Amino acid sequence: MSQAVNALEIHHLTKGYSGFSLEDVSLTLPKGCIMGLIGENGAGKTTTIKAALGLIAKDSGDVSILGMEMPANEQAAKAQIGVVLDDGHFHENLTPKEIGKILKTIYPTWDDSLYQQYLKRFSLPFDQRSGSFSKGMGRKLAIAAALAHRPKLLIMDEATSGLDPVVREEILDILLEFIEDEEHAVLLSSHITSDLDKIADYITFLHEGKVVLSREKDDLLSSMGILKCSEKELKKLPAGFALRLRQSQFGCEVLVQNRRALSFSHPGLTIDPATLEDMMLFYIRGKQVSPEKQL
Amino acid sequence: MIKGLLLKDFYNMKKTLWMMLVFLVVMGALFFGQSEVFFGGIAVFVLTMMTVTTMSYDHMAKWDSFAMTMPVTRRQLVAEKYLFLLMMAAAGGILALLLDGVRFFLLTRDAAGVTTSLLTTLLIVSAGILYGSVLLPLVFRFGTEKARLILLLSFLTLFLLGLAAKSLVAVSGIPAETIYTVLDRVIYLLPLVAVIGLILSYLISAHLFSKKEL
Repeated sequence: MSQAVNALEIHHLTKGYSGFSLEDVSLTLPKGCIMGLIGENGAGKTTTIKAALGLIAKDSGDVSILGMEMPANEQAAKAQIGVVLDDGHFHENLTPKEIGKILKTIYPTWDDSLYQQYLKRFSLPFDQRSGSFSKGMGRKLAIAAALAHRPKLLIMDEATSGLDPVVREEILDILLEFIEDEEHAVLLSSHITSDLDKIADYITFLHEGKVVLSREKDDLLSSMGILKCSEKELKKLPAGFALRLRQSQFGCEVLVQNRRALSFSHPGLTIDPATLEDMMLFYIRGKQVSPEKQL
Repeated sequence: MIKGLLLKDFYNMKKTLWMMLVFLVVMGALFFGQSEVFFGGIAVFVLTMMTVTTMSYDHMAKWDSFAMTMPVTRRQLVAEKYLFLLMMAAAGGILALLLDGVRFFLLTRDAAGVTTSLLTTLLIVSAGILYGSVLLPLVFRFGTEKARLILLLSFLTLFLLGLAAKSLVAVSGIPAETIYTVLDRVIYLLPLVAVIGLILSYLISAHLFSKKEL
């Protein structure tokens, strides 16, 4: 038997614009998992998703969705994925009922009763113009529409941004339910890292169009730490631990990896666990630790 | 797939289309017994223009990129707009024929008029399709707002060229009669030109859209 098919594989994806480029982005999302794609606004999250889906032409790289090579098997693959985009949506004149009728003709596996279940659960009115919906209702409608053809892979761009905490939690609950099926997978881009802290299995962190990290979340959280120290202590730090540095008048903060090993060998150091948000801030606002420290 | 896209446009436009229908029925009543060709022209023109309106709605919703996440091909998305255009042009033609039909039963009962009416409508519908065929690739390339402006300017140029041609004819001394006879024959080529224009236009639009970044 060949190895298990991944829900999404992106290899060496490159896309250049003037002023911004996506460089050599690779990620692998196994079935049964949720991957959070994090990064600041403009880091390339949407570009990565759009290039993977063929909405924009990639310069190079390979994408396969549910084992199907893109763009050769584009139609077959797209019939089995559900996508919620940050900015593309249904026309404001359309009602949820009409949207259901439209999608029924587009997706061969459309399940109307499932769609209605979702609408009911989200308390979305069946016959009202979607243009009159709040942002949260609109997002829930998009999710209902994206799940009702029973996709195997759900891709959500900026899934929870701009939504209140109650709606965000409702959406996270739906995603956790969806992922109970081992054949399913979710790719979720967000800059709200606390949501991903709750549900993601894998984290891929994009910064300035490049993948900075792509690892299992638990592994990442147990490895990364923040070391508070003076510049002198920083210089004495053994190689291979320090990743990024933020300096202030009070001393240095260093993002370190293998924090347990470091505290074991240097019991005197104060190392706190780092959250995803900390890591983001270290990469975006901090600077590289001087090369001799990395050797 | 294309059926779903058509449904999307009709649901989305249902209010506008009803309003158009009411407007055209009122227009039809006003023009009744007088200038039916003019009415047919208006009906076909405003209805084919609805195709562009659907595209500006699509643009506002950023629908194109959303649609491309679904199992819909780029060619299907383009083809649907042409299908919509044809349906609208046909609807305009049917309205024009209906008005002629009412006149036939109420007023004239003139059998010769039926042929004229059918022929005129065919020509009007062809003109509408040709108009849409010029417009759609412009919209796919430049977006709805710019495309309208470009078309307005091109009409203006065409109008000026027409004026220039007219004065040229006057200078050249060819009798106007001859010109009109020739034009009278040439105009029956319009349906053929419309069909060729439509096919070319679709191919151009499909090519433009195939490369578009969504």
